[in-house]
Amino acid sequence: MLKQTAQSINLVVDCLSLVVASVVATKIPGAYRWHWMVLIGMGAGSMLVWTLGGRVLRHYDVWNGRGIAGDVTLTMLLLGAMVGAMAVLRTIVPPYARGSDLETFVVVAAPAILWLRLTTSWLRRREVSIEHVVVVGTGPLGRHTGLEIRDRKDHRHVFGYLRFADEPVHSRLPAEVLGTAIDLEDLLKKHVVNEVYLASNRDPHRAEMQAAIGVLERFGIPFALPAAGFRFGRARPQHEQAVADGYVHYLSVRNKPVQLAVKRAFDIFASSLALACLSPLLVAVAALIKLTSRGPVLFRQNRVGLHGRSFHMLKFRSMVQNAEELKAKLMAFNEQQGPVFKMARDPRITSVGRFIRKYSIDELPQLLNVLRGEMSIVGPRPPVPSEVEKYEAWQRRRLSVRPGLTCVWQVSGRNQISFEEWMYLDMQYIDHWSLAQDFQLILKTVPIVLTGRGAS
Amino acid sequence: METKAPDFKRVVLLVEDHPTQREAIRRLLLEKNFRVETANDYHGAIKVLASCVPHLICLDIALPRESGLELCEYVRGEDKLRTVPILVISDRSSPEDMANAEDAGANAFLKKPFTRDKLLKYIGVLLDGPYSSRPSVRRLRRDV
Repeated sequence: MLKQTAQSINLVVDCLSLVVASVVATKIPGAYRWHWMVLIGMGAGSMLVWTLGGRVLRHYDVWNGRGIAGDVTLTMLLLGAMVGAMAVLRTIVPPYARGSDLETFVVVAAPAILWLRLTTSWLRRREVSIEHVVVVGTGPLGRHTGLEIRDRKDHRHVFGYLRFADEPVHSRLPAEVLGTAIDLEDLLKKHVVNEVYLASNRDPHRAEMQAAIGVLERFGIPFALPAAGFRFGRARPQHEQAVADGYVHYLSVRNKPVQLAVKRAFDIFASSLALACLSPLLVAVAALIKLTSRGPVLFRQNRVGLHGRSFHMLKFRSMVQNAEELKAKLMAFNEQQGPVFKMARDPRITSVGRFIRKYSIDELPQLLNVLRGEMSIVGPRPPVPSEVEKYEAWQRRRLSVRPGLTCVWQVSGRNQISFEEWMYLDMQYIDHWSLAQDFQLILKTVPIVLTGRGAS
Repeated sequence: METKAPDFKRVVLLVEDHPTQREAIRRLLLEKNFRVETANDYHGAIKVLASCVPHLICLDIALPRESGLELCEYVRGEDKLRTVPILVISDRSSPEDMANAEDAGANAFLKKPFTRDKLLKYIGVLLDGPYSSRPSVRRLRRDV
């Protein structure tokens, strides 16, 4: 799902750079000016060629298995096709296009797209082994599944195997056997797992597979089932793309790749814009914190992100330096039910801290987390690891989406609801997620933050 | 293929329904000094197997009538043929396809399209590699 999103973002970014390139090509001094109709026509035409070409050549497929050289070749090929189409357009509408300047366009667009393409694929490649896959089943199917994932050399990694109760362990498995299928729940609690392959198509394993599916759905972990389940030689699936690796993949969150891509693009755009606009405020607050109390400006707290992967959430430091140690002593005064700690007049908060917390300024550095892709603007608040340890299975599903700055709970009246209710609200958010709801939540958050209402 | 020149010609049974492909593989094997028996389906193969025990069976999964996997099972069910290594060739190579081939008794799985070198390498490993000496070969080698 995430890779699908990444590829959709790639497509959006490529199209944007095409637009920018065509605008630049017509605006640089000395270049011919394009008639605006030609600009729009060429823009639409080239975008169409690019998207269709990309689809035909599988430029934006999830499992394209291409390296950098392949990426470059394909990009150039697509660009060539596009310029060809534009040249044809130019001959068709000569009166408007007499002055249009394809050469400049190519000179500007080619490096721009190539550069973007290479940085995104470099970024993707840099995140080696970040997706952990667990294979349930140690028979031939399990082994071939693991080998296939290993040999595909995208950044998936077989974290380990679980075997079915009656199953012998195949020698030469590409990863260690960590237990039986019953241990799945424990495994998911302890480790970051991005997808689980249920690698069996045999009757005796049906009950165990069904139980595993139950666990996976409760945890909100994506899983994959063998696409065929039977043996055949000649027949092929009608929609081969859907079962490209021989598995049908299931998600427990709704799959909206385009909306997710828009959300991520919005996150990047909005967080960088906000960081730029708020930079005077951020600098002032940082200076104030530095001047009024000892210790660093930013507070890096370990939080649990998407699929349980932990990251450092950034905050302006609003407490005294040894706050975490004092927390243990203050646990008796906890006012929030469940595994969260909240207290109205927390003695650890500094005077500047009280102000920046009232207006949620202390949370602003998380815009950097958003920019880095660890968080989103809207999403369930990232929990601390000790909270997650106390989660019940269904509550862990909160971790199946990217955590955010604000969510339903934050706009619903903040601290005045119980932990259980809070979890329900987050779960509702996850199950009924849509872009429209996200924007509503952002709009609702703004007045609450500005008035400092309900914050502690 | 790095093999010691055998003093007798080894027999390969080639089961492939596509005439051009069958002929291409046959020529290649003849060139490498094998004796090649060919069949174009399950029944043809069984007829050949009735009169000779080949050193290797090389078969396509997608055959016109019964599939290649059924031929695998037949071979594994016959006492005199049980230890003959089987190389399965198929254009579908999902983990499930490979697992099914392994379950049916194949020893190696080669995905179409393949190169000459790859085919010879697979055959070499099956004939001279660690699997040839074992009395009962039930393990599929994918990464030869």
